[in-house]
Amino acid sequence: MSRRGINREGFAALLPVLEVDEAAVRRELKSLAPGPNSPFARLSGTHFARLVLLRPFDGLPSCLFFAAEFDAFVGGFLEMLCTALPNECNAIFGHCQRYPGTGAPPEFKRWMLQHRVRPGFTVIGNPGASADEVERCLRLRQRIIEFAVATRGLEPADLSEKWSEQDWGA
Amino acid sequence: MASHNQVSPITVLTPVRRFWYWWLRLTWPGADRGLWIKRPTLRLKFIHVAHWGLIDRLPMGAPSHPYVLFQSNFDGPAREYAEAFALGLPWRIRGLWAGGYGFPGPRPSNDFVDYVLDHAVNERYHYYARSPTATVRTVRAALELDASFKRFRDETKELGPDEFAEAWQRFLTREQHNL
Repeated sequence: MSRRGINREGFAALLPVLEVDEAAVRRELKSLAPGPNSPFARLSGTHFARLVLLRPFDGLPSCLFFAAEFDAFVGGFLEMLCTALPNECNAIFGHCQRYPGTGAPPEFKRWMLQHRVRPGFTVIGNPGASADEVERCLRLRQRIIEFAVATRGLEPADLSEKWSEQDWGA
Repeated sequence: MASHNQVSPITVLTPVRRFWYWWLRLTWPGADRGLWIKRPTLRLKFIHVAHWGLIDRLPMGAPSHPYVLFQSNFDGPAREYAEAFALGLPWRIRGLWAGGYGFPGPRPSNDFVDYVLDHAVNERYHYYARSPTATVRTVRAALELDASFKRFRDETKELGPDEFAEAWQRFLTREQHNL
């Protein structure tokens, strides 16, 4: 399932919502915790994820748009989604047409892939970096900045002592 | 659409003419593989990930024209984002949207920005970003700094306090653009 850096295709799907369930989908989306408490934070290697309800327009029925960027292969990501977030998946996607549930991951995967919108043209800002690597490097950068500020103007011996106290990791 | 976080999502659905659907299907594979189309887009340094896709298999009851689905994770407000595209990449904008119904062209940029925002999904999102406050530039700087810092640590392992202090100052000077 793991791969080097972000999957350049990501995953996106337009999932037609049962006509009577629009309000329920909206409620479910509203109830999801934001930021680090989002259920997607529990899917390791996920860079970005979005869920948004598209109102009916131009004759299109209302659809739930689901998209995510991650480090895994698409199949692996969908399996992880199904097995790690079964309650959330059932609560949200359960309002979509022909949703098979999370009881049988292959069926869940097949249903998602049937609604997939494949990207034709993709731009990625930092293509080689995994989500974990990005987070680690951001933390390291912050620590270096803090260390530089804290040790500004110190004598070499004091700087060296402060440096030796640091655990910068492997 | 935008929030207090640095990284924001945008989702834009634009109906396009049938001939344009085929044009995109023919040209995207080459454009997606080659850097000469993408390089100017990457130079803008505010796109984390952006995808353009085609919707042709529509659910029942839908109209017969296809759609271009554009979705992006980017830094800053959506208006500035669309404006930067229009001003910086006019030919690429035409190459992506010229066959769209109502496409005004990239200039004047206000018309293009309105076109994008008018077609943007304006519903409440559930949006997750692993590092929501880190811009593309910050992430790039952190990745570069990581490699440079590893070298610095290797090179300064055996140094005494005076030499270390000098090396530290040189490191900070060299890496100030990444800090």
